[in-house]
Amino acid sequence: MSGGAGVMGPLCPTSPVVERVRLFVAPVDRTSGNALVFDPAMQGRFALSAPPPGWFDMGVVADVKRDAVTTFAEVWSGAPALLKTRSRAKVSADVSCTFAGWSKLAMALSSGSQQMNLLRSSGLAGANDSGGAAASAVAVLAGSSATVLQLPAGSAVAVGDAVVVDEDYEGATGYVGSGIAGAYVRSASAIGNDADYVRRVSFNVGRVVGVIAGASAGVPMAVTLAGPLLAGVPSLTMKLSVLMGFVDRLGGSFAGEWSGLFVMDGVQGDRVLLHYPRLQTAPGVAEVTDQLAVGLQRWRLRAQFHALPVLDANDGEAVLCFRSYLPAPGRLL
Amino acid sequence: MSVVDGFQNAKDTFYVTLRDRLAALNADRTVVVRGATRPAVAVAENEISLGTGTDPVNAFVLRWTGFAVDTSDALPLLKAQCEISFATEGSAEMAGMDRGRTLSAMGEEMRGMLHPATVPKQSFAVSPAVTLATQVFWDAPVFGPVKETADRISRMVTVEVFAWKEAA
Amino acid sequence: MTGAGMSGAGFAGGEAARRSAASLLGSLTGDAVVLRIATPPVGDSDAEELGLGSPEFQDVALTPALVRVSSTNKTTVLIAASAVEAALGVDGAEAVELALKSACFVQVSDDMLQVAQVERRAVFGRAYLYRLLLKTPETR
Repeated sequence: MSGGAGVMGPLCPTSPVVERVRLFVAPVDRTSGNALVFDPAMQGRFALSAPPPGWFDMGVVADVKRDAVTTFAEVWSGAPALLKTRSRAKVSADVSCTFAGWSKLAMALSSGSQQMNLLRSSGLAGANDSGGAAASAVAVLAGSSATVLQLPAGSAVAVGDAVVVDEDYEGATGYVGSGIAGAYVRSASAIGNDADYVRRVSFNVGRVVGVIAGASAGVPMAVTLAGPLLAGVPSLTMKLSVLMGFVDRLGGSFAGEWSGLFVMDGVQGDRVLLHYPRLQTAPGVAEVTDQLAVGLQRWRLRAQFHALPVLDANDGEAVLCFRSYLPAPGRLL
Repeated sequence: MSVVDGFQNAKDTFYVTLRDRLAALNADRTVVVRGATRPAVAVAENEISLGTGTDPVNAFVLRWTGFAVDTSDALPLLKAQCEISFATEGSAEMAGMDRGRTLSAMGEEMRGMLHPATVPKQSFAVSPAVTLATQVFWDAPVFGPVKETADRISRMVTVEVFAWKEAA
Repeated sequence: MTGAGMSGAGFAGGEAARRSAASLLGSLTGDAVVLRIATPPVGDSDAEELGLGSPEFQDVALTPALVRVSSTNKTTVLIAASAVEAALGVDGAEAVELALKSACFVQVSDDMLQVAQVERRAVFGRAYLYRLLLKTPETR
């Protein structure tokens, strides 16, 4: 006990006691290969309700499993042989988790391949296993914002509709999809020159919560979305399609790449951050089920990732994961 | 108008659903409460407590027990156990000798009232009632043993009722 | 005796018992107890079924009522059947018993008690006396 006013000294370190794990993801720029930087010194104590720009909140995740395998190259010498030195030969890491709900992003992260939108179709004549010929897309007009879209009067869009807003496909190869790359087009012929292809794979989706018809005939209608489009204000070359749901496939060639940030807040005010700058979605689709009650099963999405390296600018080392610990106040170090 | 959601909406929706389904299944299964006749479904906690400890016969009485919250979903999943008791003394014309058959018939009505096991959640705190965004759902009913006391036989069915708590 | 003769004698016997009970209680006591009864639910409203609304209450005085408190603090009330039927405005044993059992409270002097049991005394099928066994409501 100190001889002063009775102030207690720092406490011994404790282990974080965590109620839940929260996951945030950010798309890797597939064109440049750059991952979004997360600086734990500056950004580590961010409010969970307001992640740093570019990060999407995936909510609470369960059953987080991390596997890291490091193999060493060893040099033995002498008689008897003794280990002289060893150095890292190979480092690999996997991480997996279960999502609390099914959403566009959760399906994309757990699918291991392209995650596609089921565009409202024009009829059975163009039926296909991943969605058939799409109904005509609607032009997005001037004056649109990321939340309120101006569409031609009489457009077939209603409250409750799920919609996707993106460009027509016009023949380019490479990564496509505004805001987040949804697929890689090798050639126009490979996708049948489908003008709706970008909207099939785009992440620029939203839910319609309001429709206001124009004040008179021919005046555009205003369509309000539940939240802003992730690609921001739509360009005037973008179009809107109504979508019926999502489909992903066991197979396919595209592998998504995301930055992942697992945040664990301890009850004592400490925080653990697991930052994987580049996570490649593992092939395969998986769900886990739990028995909710007699005759009721709950199906949840299970996502698995392989970690890919980035170079730490501080020292040029190749790194798969950054683990940060922000201690609780008043703890010994 | 915004509606605050909690498990009370699920309880109200479950009761109204069972009441209306019973009226469709058997319009003659009624109970008189304070002089008014209505489908024979009642929630014990919503009725005047008379302290007699005896439920009315030929009626389904709901009691709520065992509340829990599962926060592992994106929306909190609320759960409560509902005990539905029903009893009969048979009919006076048959001197109560039909009480077994009556209890069986009520058991079948119970099964019919609980199927389908999902219904849109409503809030009755406002008038007219407002339909909310999620469904109330429940698991398969568990029928307890038949109990006999004097000239009355009774049974209890247990159902777990679930509902997501919607954000305001 | 024929069945008609039997019923005639029974009816007369029952009526006599009812008049006797009313007269006897009237001479023994002038006390009254008050039944507090909830009014019927309003129209098509779900409110009372969902606990969102409460009924109105009406007080019905039953007199003459003979109140007895036993050595074990059990309270019983004896009331002539004719007085009960007149006060409640109902006829028939079943209806009367239902009305008595549905009373929320019974006020005896300054005490608010609840009906634990209703017993009917009858002769030749005609009720002449009701005995209410009352209890103290459970406290929190």
